[in-house]
Amino acid sequence: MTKIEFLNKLNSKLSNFPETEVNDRLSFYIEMIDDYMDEGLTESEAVEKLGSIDEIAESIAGDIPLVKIAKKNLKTKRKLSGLEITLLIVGFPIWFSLLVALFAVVISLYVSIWSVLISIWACGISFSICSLGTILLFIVYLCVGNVPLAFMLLSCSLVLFGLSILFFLLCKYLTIWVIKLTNKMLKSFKNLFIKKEE
Amino acid sequence: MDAQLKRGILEVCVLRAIKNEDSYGYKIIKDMKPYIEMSESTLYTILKRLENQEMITVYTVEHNSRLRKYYHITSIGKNRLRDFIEDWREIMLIYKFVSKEDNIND
Repeated sequence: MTKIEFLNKLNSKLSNFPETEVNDRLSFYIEMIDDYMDEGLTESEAVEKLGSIDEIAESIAGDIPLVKIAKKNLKTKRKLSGLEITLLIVGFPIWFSLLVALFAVVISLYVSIWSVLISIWACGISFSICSLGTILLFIVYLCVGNVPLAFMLLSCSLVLFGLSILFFLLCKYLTIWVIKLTNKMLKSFKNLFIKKEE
Repeated sequence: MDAQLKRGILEVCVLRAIKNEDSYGYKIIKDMKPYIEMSESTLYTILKRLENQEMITVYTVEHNSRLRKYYHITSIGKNRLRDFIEDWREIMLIYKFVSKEDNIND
């Protein structure tokens, strides 16, 4: 692949990303290729050194903030024809509600993941509070003199304490998992903007 | 290696590569190669971040009738290097303690 081919391919894959950022990147790669060639590599060897275009495109997508990508893509690139505008207006009740529904589904799925997590946290907290409560009751019954009941409460308290530790561990792992999942979702969402080869 | 830690280390490596004289992308990668391998895309990301943090400045020089970007370390960048060396001196002591072989009696 020649330098021009490489740059054209990368540029067309990145057409959904802000131009200034992409141009800055491309000039960086041009300089790199030229420097490799100065060192005696052939043009195709120099291009190969940079790695696959897909990998480069993904790393660029990862670097550019989502807000900038959104801004770039919200601007329409061409004027809409009269027919298109009419269709957009007439179809508004359909496409707009579908769009809202889609967003609602995605957001509610995400919220439900977090609510499961929060409820497990709540379980852990309630177990530990109950454990404290039964310990207090244990002391009360011990003072009153009801020894068998007091020791039953002590054992309950220990079981509850054990459960709360288990739940907190579970919470910790799940929370880390959800945060990782969020990052992955964001990354794959950004990768959607990388143009596929026709 | 932890991603956050690796990023910090790569930043310091790039700062070190331009500490004694201003350098350009290709040369930075070449100078770092014996110690740490770094892709061109990663270098770009790190240079941008260092520039945003005002640890380096960039200027363009004509070379062989084309343009080449040179990177210059600022005093903030030099401070970052100094802090890194100080921190790691402590961390190496801790490392020695943590990785110490156990005695037979333990």
